[in-house]
Amino acid sequence: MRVKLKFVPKWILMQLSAFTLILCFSQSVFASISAFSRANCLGFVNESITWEASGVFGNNVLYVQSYHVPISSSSAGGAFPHFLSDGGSNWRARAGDQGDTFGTLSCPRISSWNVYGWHSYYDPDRSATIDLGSSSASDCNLSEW
Amino acid sequence: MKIRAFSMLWLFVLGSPALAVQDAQIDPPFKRASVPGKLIVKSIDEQDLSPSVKENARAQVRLMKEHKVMPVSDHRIPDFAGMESEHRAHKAQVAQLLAEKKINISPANVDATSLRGESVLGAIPSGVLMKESWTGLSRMFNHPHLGRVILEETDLAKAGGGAVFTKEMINADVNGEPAVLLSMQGSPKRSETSLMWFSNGVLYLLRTPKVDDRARDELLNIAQHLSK
Repeated sequence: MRVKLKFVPKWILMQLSAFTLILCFSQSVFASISAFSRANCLGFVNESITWEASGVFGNNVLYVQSYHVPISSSSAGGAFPHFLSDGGSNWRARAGDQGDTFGTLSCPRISSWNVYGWHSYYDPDRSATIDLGSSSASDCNLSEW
Repeated sequence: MKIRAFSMLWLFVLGSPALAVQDAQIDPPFKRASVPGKLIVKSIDEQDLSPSVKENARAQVRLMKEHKVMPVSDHRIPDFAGMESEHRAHKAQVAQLLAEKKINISPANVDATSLRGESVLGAIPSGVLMKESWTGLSRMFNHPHLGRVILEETDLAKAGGGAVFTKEMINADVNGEPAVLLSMQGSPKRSETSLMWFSNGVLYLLRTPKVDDRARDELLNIAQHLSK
């Protein structure tokens, strides 16, 4: 069955394309266990990620907690601090959202956010819990990719 | 119009100066298993782990006690060739990041170890990206007897992290610090000896594909003679 996209506004498709692009960037960084946060990516992505790409998939169990705090908001709808978490994956844990800055078309909400992440993993071979510590971001950290 | 409006919005957000994060380390809104900057050693029963994870940990302890070289499935052994490619690919980038102080650790000095004078095949930044700097570094050396040796250093204290080791798994020590020394064998061409320990807020992991007594002795010897 073909999915008809003609009813989806072009601007939404453009946003989704850009979002896909940024996700691709996030998967092409460094090997070994890495962890980071990023805020206000493309204006709407806030997230913290713990990930492993060292070719040892299936071992360490990754966890992340992400705390999003608005530092400015021009508008209606409000913007509240909120907490997200993810864990259990062997290659990437992502706690994030992509709607923090969205309001409605008639009443758009533009906010800037600080993102704080706490990153850890469990190493089952050595039975060790490693708390990598915390990351923070007020921008997309694009220069790091 | 909508497209243009949203494009302008992106330019506004991406192009605006970064707003300063007030403080990189705030208290997490949950209970941590570790103590920042410290190593805690606990028995399996004392840890806040799920029953299945505890059972797996007990099985791992039994396996370690029964076998000097533990038989495991291949997926638990690092792909050293792949890791070498990754390390080589990022070597120049790491040199630049170190020069720009975007890797916020002082790499351990290997001059007093058997890695002295050996070539660094490559390196990778790791750990947490904190204030635009990484808190970890992985280096791969070419050791005269072991072949590839990887030294991973992660400064957990720098990002407010810490570690919890399992008492039953500790089977070695590095200058008085508890350590876990493991040899694992998958298929004939897939094996690893590793040594993990924690010292002064830094988590260290040494790895090599060799699994004989000499590999274990060499890793312990390297660990004991690293200096900061």
